[in-house]
Formats: sequence, structure tokens, C-alpha cells
Amino acid sequence: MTPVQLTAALKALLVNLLGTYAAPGLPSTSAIYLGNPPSDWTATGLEVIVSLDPDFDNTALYGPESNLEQTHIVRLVAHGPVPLAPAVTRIVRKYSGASTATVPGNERLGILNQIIIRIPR
Amino acid sequence: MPDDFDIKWNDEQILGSLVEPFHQANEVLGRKFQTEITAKKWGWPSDPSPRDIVDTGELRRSYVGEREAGLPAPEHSHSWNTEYAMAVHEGARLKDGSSLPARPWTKEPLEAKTLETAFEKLAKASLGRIQ
Repeated sequence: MTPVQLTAALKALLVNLLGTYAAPGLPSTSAIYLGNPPSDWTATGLEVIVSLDPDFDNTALYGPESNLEQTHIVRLVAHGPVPLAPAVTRIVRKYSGASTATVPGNERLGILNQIIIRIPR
Repeated sequence: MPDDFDIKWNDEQILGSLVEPFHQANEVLGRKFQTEITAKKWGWPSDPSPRDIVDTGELRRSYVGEREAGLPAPEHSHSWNTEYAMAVHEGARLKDGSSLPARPWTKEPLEAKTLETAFEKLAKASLGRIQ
């Protein structure tokens, strides 16, 4: 599964949960993006960002052996008081082996609530 | 003259001798984590890049490595107690539309088997001291 295919699959999977992007001079679109969204785009609701490049996990095995695994990184971001759990549940149910990490939001520091999901490629 | 030959293994003694090496190996890992934070290796959207993860030093100072009794086996925890530690490690989207890049300072020491290598060395020495 390529990042493009994953983005398309997530768009379909989360269709009624996604927020919207507002971009200057463009009609609003679903808030899901492959790579870094342009800085002048504004998201509301649930934003989903799929990393262009896979990450690598190198898990040590016994002795000199190790297992190199590629993973997709998907970031769910809450713009406003939108729950992330329904989207996380759908993704984790669909992709076995997916793992999550939570980045707690912080109003003072301007950090939005977000959850990173790692999906084995 | 003795007419028998016995070997007795004392599993409590053997397992007990591994507790201290386990914690010491974790302390080696903890120092490696901290070294990663100060390494000028992390990409940043503006100059200078790469740079370290030390800004105020609060993140680095917040590290706590703790020996815990744990049941049935001892445990060792590593934590960074700042409100933005996860945002630095995993990267973050910010309210102003910008993003912080992920700087996972624990990743390389774990993948490089820092803990396993240190434990193997320390455990071997400790087991060798059993009478």
C-alpha cells in the first residue's frame, strides 16, 4: 500500500468524520492531506495528515538479527472540540498492527490535541 | 573420600544477581537518551539545522530514570516530565497552522540495542561473581 492509496482509503473510511480545509481562492475540501498542507490552508474539525515518506522501525531480535519494518505515519489533529476517538477506532479496526501515540493538547503552548497512528506498510 | 558429586543451582541467587545489572543497563540507556537530546542532529525548518533539542534545557532536566520494584520482576522507567515532551518527540501541529518536526530522541538508542548490549556485559560480570 502506497501513501497515495492509504490517503484515498482513509478519505473513504473517515468520510463523515473529516473536517474541512479552507484555502484562499479554492472551494473548501475534506481535511485530509498527503504531506504537509500548505501554510495558508486553514483546517477546522478533524484534520488527517498522511506522511509522504514511510518511517522505519528497526526491531532488535536475538543475537545480531533485526527486523526492519516500514510504517506509514498518520496524524489526526483536532481543530476545536472534536473527538479523535471515533476516527482512531475506525483506523485501528481496519489496519491490524496499527499503534497509537497521543500528543496532548496545550492551550498555553498552542499545541493541538493529536494522535499519531503508525500503520505497518 | 566423597562418593558423590552434586551441582546445585540456586535460581534465586542467579536471578537476584541480574537485578543490579538490569538497572545499571537502564542507566546507561538513560544517559544515551540524554546524549541524543544534546546531539546536533535534528532537522529544523529554519537555520541552524540540524540542531540539538536544547532550548531552555527544561526538557533535558525533566528526565527521571526510576528503579521500581515491580512484580514479579523489577522495572525501570524513563520519563520526561514536561507538558510538551510528547510534542517534541512525535512532532505536533500548532494552533497557528505551523508544525513542529518529530525529534524522537529515544528511537536510535533503542534500535541500537544500547540496553541489551550493556545488560549482557554487566550481567556476565555479575554472574561470574556467584560463588
